Amino acid sequence: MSDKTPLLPDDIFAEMKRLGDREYAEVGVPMMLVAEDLSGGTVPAAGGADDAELARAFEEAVAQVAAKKGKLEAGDFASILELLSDRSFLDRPFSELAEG
Amino acid sequence: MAELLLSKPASEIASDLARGFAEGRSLRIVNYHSTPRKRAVEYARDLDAYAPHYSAFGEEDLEDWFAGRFSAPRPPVIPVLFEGFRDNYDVILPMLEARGLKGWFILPSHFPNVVPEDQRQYAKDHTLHYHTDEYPGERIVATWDELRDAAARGHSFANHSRNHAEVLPDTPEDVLYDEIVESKREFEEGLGRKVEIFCWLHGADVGINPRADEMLREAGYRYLFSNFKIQKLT
Repeated sequence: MSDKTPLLPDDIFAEMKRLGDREYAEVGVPMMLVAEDLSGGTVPAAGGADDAELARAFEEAVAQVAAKKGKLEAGDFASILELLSDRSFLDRPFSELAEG
Repeated sequence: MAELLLSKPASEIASDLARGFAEGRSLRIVNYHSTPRKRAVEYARDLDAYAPHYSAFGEEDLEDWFAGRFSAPRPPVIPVLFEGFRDNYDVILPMLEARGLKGWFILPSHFPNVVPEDQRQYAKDHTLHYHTDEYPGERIVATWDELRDAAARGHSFANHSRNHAEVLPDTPEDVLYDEIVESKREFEEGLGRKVEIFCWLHGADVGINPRADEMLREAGYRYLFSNFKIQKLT
């Protein structure tokens, strides 16, 4: 994909708030799940440039939330992942599709 | 009542997730709950936008994916259909199929066994949000016949506990047994085949309640879907 949306907007808090106001009961919401093998195996690493960029954006978002709130809670991680998922799932934010 | 819980310190969760992203160990999902027909145009627009960029992925692919053997022309995507509402089967499932995607039904095992006249109240009592009632006077939950049909058409299934339950550090043994073990029996009896994936309400991962984790493994679940992770248990 080209002309990608920047993973982090200027104001991540406003964007997380906007995404959190969606009607979760009826709309599609992109997310990401990290695989973890607790059975004694390992999940082979296969990360590329996009994955490294995603990891950096995640760390930056965590740092911004921690700087503002002091301590992250589970809901903060969920909001950050929703934000990054929305902006990395397609070339443009997934949530913009609902706006036509 | 608690909602989202962390199984370890936030700094460790942050490290786990950052490392997982950097190593390409993340799976894309799209979460749906009720999918009323009034939003069909919206679902079609979403699916038309993302289906060309992703490959279908079923529960049968998990083993290979975890082992690094999964091969597809595009990254995998999991459209998750939470709760087992009838409109998942009637409305969005054919739309997924038309675009070559596989849906993942994640539902509480008891919900399809609730009699139709009690389903709306059961939904209200068990945090199963149903906002648009498009079947007035009729059932709102998919039947086991419909779910078996979806399974036969290649879609995937996970157990969402028996009664859409969350797990807390002090959830008692008898409740865990009902929500994990009895629920598996009920789910498999309804679906007519094994269910090996589990998901708690509010998405607890391994570590919130060690006895629950042990019981999941003993019962024969192989994977746990949570808020931020998919964990291979055995």
